[in-house]
Amino acid sequence: MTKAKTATRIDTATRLDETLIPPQPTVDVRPKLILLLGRGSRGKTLLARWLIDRAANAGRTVVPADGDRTNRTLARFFSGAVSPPSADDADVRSWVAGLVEALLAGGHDTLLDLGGGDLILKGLAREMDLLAWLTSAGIDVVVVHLLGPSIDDAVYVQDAEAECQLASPATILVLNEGTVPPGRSAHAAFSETVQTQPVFAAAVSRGARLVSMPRLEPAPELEEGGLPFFLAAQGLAPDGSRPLGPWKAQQVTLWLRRMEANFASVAEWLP
Amino acid sequence: MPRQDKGIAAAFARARAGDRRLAPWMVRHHDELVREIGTARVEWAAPLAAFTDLGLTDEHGQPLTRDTASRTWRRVREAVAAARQAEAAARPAFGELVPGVRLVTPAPAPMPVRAAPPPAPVAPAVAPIAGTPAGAEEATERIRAVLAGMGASRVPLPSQPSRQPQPAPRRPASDRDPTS
Repeated sequence: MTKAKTATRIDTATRLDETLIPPQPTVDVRPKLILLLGRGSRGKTLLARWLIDRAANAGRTVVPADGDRTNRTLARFFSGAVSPPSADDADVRSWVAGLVEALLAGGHDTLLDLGGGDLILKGLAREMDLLAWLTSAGIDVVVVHLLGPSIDDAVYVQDAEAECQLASPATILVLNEGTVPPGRSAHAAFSETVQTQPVFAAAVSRGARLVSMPRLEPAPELEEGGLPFFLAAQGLAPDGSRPLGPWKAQQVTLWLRRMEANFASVAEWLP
Repeated sequence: MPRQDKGIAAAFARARAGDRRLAPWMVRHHDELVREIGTARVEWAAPLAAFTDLGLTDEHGQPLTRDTASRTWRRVREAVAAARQAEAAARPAFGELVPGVRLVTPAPAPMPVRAAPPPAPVAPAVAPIAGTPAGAEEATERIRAVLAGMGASRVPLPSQPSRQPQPAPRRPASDRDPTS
C-alpha cells in the first residue's frame, strides 16, 4: 500500500516536472517592477503568489512587496516579503519610495501588491511620472490589471491608463474567471464588458495583452493552509500544514498547466 | 471636439482603412511583423501569401512580388527605427530635466533630487493609442480569441444528427466487362 502511494507520488512529481516548469525567458537583463492593479477581491494576491512561486520554481528571485493595508496575505506566504511599517498614508508612500530606490540600486525584480482600490500607487504614478521615469532608468514596468466582469473594472483600467499615466507598453489585462458568479459562464460574463467597453480595444490596440485566468477551485484551502502551488499540486505541504487530497491536488495541477498556457503570450513580461 | 471635426476624423479614418498599400500597412503593424518574421533574413513565401490574403498591393495597386515586399520591409524598418530614435532623443534621459540639462545632485545618491518644479513632459511617455479601424479590428479579433478560449475546459454539447440522406458507399468498379 505504502509502496503504491510512493509510486503514485513519484509519477505525479515526474509529470509535474515535465509539464509545469515554465519556459525559460529569452535573454532580458532589465529588472522588472510588476504592479498589480484592480478593485478588491479581483485575485491580485492569488496571481502574485503564482508569479512568485513560478519564478522561484525556475530559480529566479522576486522581491514580494506586500502593501495591502487590510490583508497582508503575501507577507504570510513569503518570509522574504517586505511591508510598510504601518497602514498610514505617509508610511505607505515613503515605503513605496524606498522600494523604488532599492529597485533602482539593486535591480531585483519586484512585485508590488497594494490592496484593492488603493489610490496611493495611482497618485504616485501621476506625481512622480513613474512610468516614464523608471523606463528611462532601465526598469521595465509591467502593469497587470486584475479584472472581473463588471463595468467598474473597465472604469478602473480607463482611470489607470488615461488619468494615472500607467499605460505601460507591457500591460496585461487579466480576466479572472474566478470572479464570475456561479451559474454564469465566464465567456458570457466577460463578453458583455470586454466587447462593449472601448477601453479594452484601445488598450489591446496599443499593445496591451489580454489573458484569462482560470478559476482555482481549492483557492481557499491553499490560502488557509499557506500552501505554495507547486507543493500543493504534488500533494505536499510545508511543516505544520495539511496537504491537499489527491482530487484537489489534481485541480491545482490542471490550473497550473492552464495558467502556463494562458500566460504564454506574456511570458517575457513575467518575473 | 466640435461635431464637424469628428466627422472629418472619421472620414480620414475610413480613407486610411481603405488604403491597401503595403508600406503604410507595414508601418502600422511593424512590431507585430517583427514578432512574426523576425529581424534576420526573411523567407518571403509565407508572408507574401498572408499579404495577398489581406488584399495588400504595392504603391501602384499592383500585386506584390517578393522583391517589392523585401524592399518595402527594409525601408519601413529603417523609417520606424529612425522615428523611434528621434523620439528617444527628444525624451529626457535618466537624470535629466530636459534633453541636455542634467540635474545637479548634492551627493552620489541613486535618486536624483529635484530642486525646481518639473517642466511639462516633452514627449508622451507611452505610445499613443492606435485609433485606426485596422488596429481596432485586430484588437477585437484578439479579444474574441481570448474569450473563446475561456470555455476550452467545458464539455461540448453532442453534435446534431444529420437528417439529410447519406450517399451510398461507393463500391470499387468491377474488373469484368459488363458487355461480355
